[in-house]
Amino acid sequence: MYKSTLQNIPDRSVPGNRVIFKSSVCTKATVILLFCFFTKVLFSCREPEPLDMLYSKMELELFDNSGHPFYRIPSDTLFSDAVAIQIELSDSSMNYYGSNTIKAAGLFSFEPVYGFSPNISYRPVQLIQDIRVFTLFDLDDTYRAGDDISESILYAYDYGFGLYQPKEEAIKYANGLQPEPSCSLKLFLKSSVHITSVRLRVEVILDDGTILNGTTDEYPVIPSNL
Amino acid sequence: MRSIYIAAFLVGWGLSLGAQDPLIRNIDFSVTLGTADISLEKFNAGENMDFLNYMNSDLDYIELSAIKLGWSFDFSERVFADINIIVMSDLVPDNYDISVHRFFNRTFGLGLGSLYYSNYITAFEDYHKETDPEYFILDQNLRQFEAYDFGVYISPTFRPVYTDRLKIALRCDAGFSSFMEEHTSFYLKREFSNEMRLVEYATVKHFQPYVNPKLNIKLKIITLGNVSVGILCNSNFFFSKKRMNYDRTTRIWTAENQVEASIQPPKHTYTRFELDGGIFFGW
Repeated sequence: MYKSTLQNIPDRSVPGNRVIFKSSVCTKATVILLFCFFTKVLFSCREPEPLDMLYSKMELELFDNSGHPFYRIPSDTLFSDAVAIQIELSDSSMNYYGSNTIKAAGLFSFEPVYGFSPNISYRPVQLIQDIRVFTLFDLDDTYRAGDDISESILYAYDYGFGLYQPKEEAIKYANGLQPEPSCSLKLFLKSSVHITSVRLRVEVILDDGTILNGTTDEYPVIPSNL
Repeated sequence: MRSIYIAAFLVGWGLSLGAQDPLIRNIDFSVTLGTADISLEKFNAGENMDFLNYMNSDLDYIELSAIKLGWSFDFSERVFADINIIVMSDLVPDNYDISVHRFFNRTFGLGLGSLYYSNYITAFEDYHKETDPEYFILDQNLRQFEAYDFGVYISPTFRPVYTDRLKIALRCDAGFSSFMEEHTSFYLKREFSNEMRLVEYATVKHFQPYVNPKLNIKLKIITLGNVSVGILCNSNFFFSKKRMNYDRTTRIWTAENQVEASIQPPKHTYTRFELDGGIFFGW
């Protein structure tokens, strides 16, 4: 029996001589620990868990949908058959914290280096139960000032082609995972308005009883059939 | 041991082949270059989309040049097979005309065959631009079908000249053909309005009769050992009244709000004249 030392290296030309390496218990333990560590590192390379966010802020804007729906052009007037509203729901604390953390870290750190760019997603904690839209002016003979016009509201997803979907799809989308700590919804008025200006009020009802509400600016309306 | 039996069987079977008549004889392989001229009756845009109004809309002789690879052979005393693969300007060998003929005597025969020809139906979105000017199409890409015309036919054949040097064959193919199914859809949005609609088209098979007289001339020039070389010329004239029926589904505002209709556009006179020539090798 030979030990794995330089002095006792066996002569391999002699038949029957074998090389036997003996390692200490400490080496074995280190190898096992390293194996476990790198295995854990390997399985740690996954997408991070979604961060929680709270819908705490709502911004509203009426926009002109008279042209191509994917090329939105800023306009200070609306066409009577093309009234649309954009709802921006966000977690105001997340935006404040996130932006300031990045700025602060940039002052005191090296340039960040990533093996890959993780897709951070955000999960709304309070789920939206309902979205209600009210008109502040008489739209036509059916909808008077103060009426709930939600049944005449349709939703369209921002990207890709597709027809309108019921308002419930907008709620389903907003309650799902979001790539940003905010969610943008575009709602479209199915009916035509027969007035010279339009102003809408929106209520977003969350499942914890919170109601986010807001009112759009007043926009002059041009008849679509001119 | 088992592999020795199998090898012995294969060797014996192979050696016995020489004792029989060859299964395939008089093989000709030909390569020809030719042209095709398609003409199609067109109508003004009407109440419904008519895809055939947009068939081969910008083709000329150069674009319809075709290379034909032909393979013909006898596989018994009276049965003759004719296989033609056609390569159009897109260099894809996806057109064919295959037939099998049985000759009752040296002059008359009757065949059965099948053909498969591609036709391009291009820019049919122009229909919506023309008839629905208040709507615009969300997808601005050019639309195109490569509509394949599949047909089966019988082919009475007459060989007025059938010598070793010169062979002339006249065929009058008659059968039924139909365009294969195609699908397309348009998202339309009304200008100055929120209204959107989705129009989906699904064409359906509709076999229509056609006639296709053909002329084949083969002239042997030289013989080199067992191989003979010659020139050949083919011509044919396809005539049919065609239309492309389809099912149309129109969804307005939402996917749930849909209207379905089955449309039969008017019949168009469709003709295709082909002429090609080249060389053949026979053995």
